[in-house]
Amino acid sequence: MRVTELRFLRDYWYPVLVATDWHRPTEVTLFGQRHVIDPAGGELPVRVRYGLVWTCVGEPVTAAPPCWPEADTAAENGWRTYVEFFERWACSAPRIIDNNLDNAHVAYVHRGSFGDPAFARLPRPDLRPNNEGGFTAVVTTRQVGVGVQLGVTDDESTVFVRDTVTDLVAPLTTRIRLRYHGAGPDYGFYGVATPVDDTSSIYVRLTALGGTPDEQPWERFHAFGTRVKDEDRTILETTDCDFPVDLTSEVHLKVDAPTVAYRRYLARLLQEDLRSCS
Amino acid sequence: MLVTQVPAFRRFWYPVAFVEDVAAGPIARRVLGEDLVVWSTGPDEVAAARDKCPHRSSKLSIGWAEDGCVVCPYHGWRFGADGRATHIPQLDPGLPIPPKAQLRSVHACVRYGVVWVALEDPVGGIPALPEAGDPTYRYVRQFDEVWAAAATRLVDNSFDPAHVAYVHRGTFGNPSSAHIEVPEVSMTDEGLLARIELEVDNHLDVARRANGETTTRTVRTTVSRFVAPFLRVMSITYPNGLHHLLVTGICPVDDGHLRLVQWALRNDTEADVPAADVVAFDRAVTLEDQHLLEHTDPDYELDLTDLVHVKVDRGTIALRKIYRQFVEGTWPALARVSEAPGVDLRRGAASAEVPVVDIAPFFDGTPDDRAAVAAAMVDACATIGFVLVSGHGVDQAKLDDFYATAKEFFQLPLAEKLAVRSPANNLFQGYACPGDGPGFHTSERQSFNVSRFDTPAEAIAAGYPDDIGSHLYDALWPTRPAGFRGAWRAYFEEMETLTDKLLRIFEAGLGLADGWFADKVDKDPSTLVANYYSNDIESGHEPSPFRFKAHVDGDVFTILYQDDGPGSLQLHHRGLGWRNVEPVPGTFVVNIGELLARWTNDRLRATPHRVLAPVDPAEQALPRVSAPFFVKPNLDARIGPIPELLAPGEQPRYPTITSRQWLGGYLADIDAGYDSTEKFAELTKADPALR
Repeated sequence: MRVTELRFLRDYWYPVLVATDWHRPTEVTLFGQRHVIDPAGGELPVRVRYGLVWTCVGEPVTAAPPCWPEADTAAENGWRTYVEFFERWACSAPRIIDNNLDNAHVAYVHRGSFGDPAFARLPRPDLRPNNEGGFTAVVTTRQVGVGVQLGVTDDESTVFVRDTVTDLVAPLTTRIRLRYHGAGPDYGFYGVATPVDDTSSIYVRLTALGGTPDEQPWERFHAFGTRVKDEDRTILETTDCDFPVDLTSEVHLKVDAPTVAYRRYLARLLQEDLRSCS
Repeated sequence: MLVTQVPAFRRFWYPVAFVEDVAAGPIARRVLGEDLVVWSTGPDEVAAARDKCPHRSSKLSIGWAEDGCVVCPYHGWRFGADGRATHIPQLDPGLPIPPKAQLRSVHACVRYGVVWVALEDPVGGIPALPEAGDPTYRYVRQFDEVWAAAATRLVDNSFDPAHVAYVHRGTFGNPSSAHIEVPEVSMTDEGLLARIELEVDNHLDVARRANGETTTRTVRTTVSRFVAPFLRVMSITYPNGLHHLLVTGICPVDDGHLRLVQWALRNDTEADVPAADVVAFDRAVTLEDQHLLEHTDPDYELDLTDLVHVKVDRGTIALRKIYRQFVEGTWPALARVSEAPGVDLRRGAASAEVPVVDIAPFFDGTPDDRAAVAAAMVDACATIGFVLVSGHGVDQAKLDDFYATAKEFFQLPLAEKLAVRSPANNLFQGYACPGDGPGFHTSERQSFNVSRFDTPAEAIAAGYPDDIGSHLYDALWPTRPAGFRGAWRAYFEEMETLTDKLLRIFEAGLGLADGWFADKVDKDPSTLVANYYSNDIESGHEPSPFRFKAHVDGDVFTILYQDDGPGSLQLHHRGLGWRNVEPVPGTFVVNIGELLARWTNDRLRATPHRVLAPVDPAEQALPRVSAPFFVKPNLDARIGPIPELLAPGEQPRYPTITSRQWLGGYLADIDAGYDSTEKFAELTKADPALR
């Protein structure tokens, strides 16, 4: 289904501007419709949070965007946070979130950075419901190449074991925490796909880095992250903007448990929304 | 006429690339609005499919080819030439590849160094080119490029000699020679043949070089073959003996774009004229055409009164005649059996893309919802005569019980099943199986049949007419499996409820009064049948590609449940031929029968359909169950075109008779061995478009 057909998506918060770029009334597009976001106040509710300007074009189901624990505890836990990416992609928003929930794509899509087709076969991720109405997916995988990013080694063939904990916290919002068991500092991502219209989205990634600037310099991390992001973008921009929320239109494997759960989650919200309308 | 709106165009080969251009990896091509991936599977061998991975919808054309397979760059899934996945890296070794992990493949081949594709079983489009095998001719590659013009416009231009004087005044035309002879045009099996002698100028040095002419004026004889629907072979003979054969391959990309794949065959040598000069001259000419055509309307006028025509337009008038035959599905080539090399027609059949209509909003939605459901149902039944119904409200548990007991029954020993075979050799009572003689199916089908009442006496007691007995038969219930009768009766009731819903929707969609059908389909001889297809009975029949031959249903409409066992139900689409009706979970197939077609004077279509046997012997042993519920009218209902549905001046195509008379004739025909499949076979003799 297209994002404009999933009416319930309008009831969530989406980042539409980077806060540091917001000085005057600015036109933004959400679900194909233009709105003006005015620092002096206007038609839509606005929240400024985590360096982003958020709004909601429906009836917000929560008072504010989902929280980002790394940013909220940055002072105590030493996280450094960044608005790493904020760019318009020519694909449908659920395809971006689907990609965030899908660890199996790494082996092929990122074979030029940290993936390796030799590690294509992954265990089925563990899934459990989370407190935000979504679910948490946990998987342990072996990754090559991240040594460059972690500053542990320059050798892109060194293999690291990592735990990936992915939380779906809103229909188009995920949080991801990555752990390397002491081989390098943790880091975390907060990802949102803002639905501009049926065929394009703003890809937003907030990044939290653990460790000190010496252990994990931002520039090195960001340079590697940009390579990885461009690899995703190339593939996602070829996907169909019609995102099926049923389970029969596409083929699924055991390893696809999180993306299957995502389709079920959207289908449930759609059904609840239709029921409340009728 | 927009090219994507003519289904018949999908049944022809179109050139999409030079074969050397797929050597480096898969390429993306669009044909009639569909995005395709084309890849090399070996020397001079290619495959093509819809450019969409069935897993997460990414495009294969940005992937790579390996061992003749195309590899998806998202998760590394690998697909072979037939579209089936051959390797899924995330699957544990030894696990079977899911059958749905398959690209929707299309036909592809290499001829004359060019890649050709066809979206449906092709019946033509690749020209015979004797010069291609003649060693005195050489091959000159020219262009592979997309123009922002409809394919029809370039064909039109190619058969319009009068444009030369103006459009090509910069290369070889001259407005002073605008008045030309009327071309000789004749119709051929492949399209047209047009011949004309033109006095042309050689304005350009490169023209003189390309054609080996030293003078500025030349008389050239041009014979153009139109190979329908979009290809031209132009043969130009110059007074100096040069023969320049130009193949203008045109692929309809979408309504507003064409792909030009053009090459030349010439009886000279590189020493006589460098290929670069040949290309340069044709480049200059095509640029003139492109500029003009990119300013034309993609909607090609078929009606001769839409534009002004003059005598020299004979070629383009003939073209319009041919295109009208494509639109109407009467172009003779469409009746041919596909010539696709090495393609199994049955496996290659494309989906009929039967629309799915959710009928629930008709009953719990707004008046607008009701109207939308009714319109969607009638539209689907008026165009292809089939529709997939979801939101039908049939109790899943009752369907499951019915299905399970049916399947279990068919898997009992033959002797036990034969105990509930009709003692009167009746095919509409109890169990029937393949065999010879009356009361046996002539195809590889087992069936079990029941009607609403266990005996005709019960029906008469319930208010049915006295002669219902000649149309109903005593039910024969098997003793095993347990619960068989209860499960079937419960499902029968579900089917009756759904029948009533569908009748209300048809009333609304056709514009009949609410309840118009109510007194015509309430005391009716409707029947529930389960068909079981499997090769586990030795019938002695000759092997047949069909499990049920082509026929039209003799009822109001049929509600069909089909499982996803191998073998497929196909419907006959006029102009497109046979197409698969793919099972969609949670839906019933509803198809219009002969009686509703008569009531609506054929506005709703009774579409021929058939069931194919699977191709693989292993699949033939796997069972498939399909369960039609045949909705029949009351015996006293009057069947004939409903007067209020006739447009002003529309003549009724059928007499008005009673259902009793119609059914009597229908059953008498079956008794005489003239069943619906025989009737259809007869029709196809007279009408090749039905084959």
